[in-house]
Amino acid sequence: MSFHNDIDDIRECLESGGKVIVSIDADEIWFGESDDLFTPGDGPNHAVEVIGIDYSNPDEPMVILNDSGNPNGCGEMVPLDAFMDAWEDGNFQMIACM
Amino acid sequence: MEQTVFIEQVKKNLKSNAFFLNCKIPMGYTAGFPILQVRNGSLCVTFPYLRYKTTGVVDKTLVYPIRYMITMELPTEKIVLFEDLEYNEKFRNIDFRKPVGYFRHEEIRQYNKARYKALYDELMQEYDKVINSLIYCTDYSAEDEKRMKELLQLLVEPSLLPMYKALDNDFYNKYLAKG
Repeated sequence: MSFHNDIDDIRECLESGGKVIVSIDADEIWFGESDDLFTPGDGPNHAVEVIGIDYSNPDEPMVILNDSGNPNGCGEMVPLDAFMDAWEDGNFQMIACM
Repeated sequence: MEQTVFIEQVKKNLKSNAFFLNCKIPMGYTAGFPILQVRNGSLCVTFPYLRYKTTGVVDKTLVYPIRYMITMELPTEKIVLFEDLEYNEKFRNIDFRKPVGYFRHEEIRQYNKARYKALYDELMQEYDKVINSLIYCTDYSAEDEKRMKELLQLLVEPSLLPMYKALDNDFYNKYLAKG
């Protein structure tokens, strides 16, 4: 387990065949587009598995999650910017299993 | 002397502090508005930890009681106290599993996410001003103190005020008590 990682740490782990779990502020993923649904909290409140990063559209890279908090969370696609904001709230914590 | 303490950075550093991690505060708890106090002649900051549970309904996010508190000396960021309030006799009548209110409360219901964030950031800057004035004798005016009071009284959840009062009556009387 480590903190202060970046997206390349996740990518390298996945490319090496590893598994990655990160702690995030899930409200930013689930309700991030709402102007009226937010909380004062800025800590991590959920763990998700990152299963891939999709750079096929360079203008809008997507992070692919297994998110148990979302009924459609298996393979959930989240814009990289939104993911980074949610991940930052956990000080970019990551558990990598090789 | 140059201002060197930023309360948001102190809070951020805490998230990956080894002592803090060993306190095993469950995931989902987040730091509330900090309490400033002088202990043993040193300026200390106490972060109260509580949780919010989003229900998916606007203004019906559940606010739970403050459950943990962690106190650090400034500017060293040395942790001097951690407490699980469930084991504090003063809070024996609190049911920590039961929500005490909703977010957003009435006085801030008109503020969207961006406006709330702007007010929150302004309040954190007021914390920085008072902290640095106490440590480094930087400028601090009566206007700053007035604005910090206004912002705290606006943003702190009314349902949490009794706990703030119980945690630190001096801070409560200085910044949170109305009238």
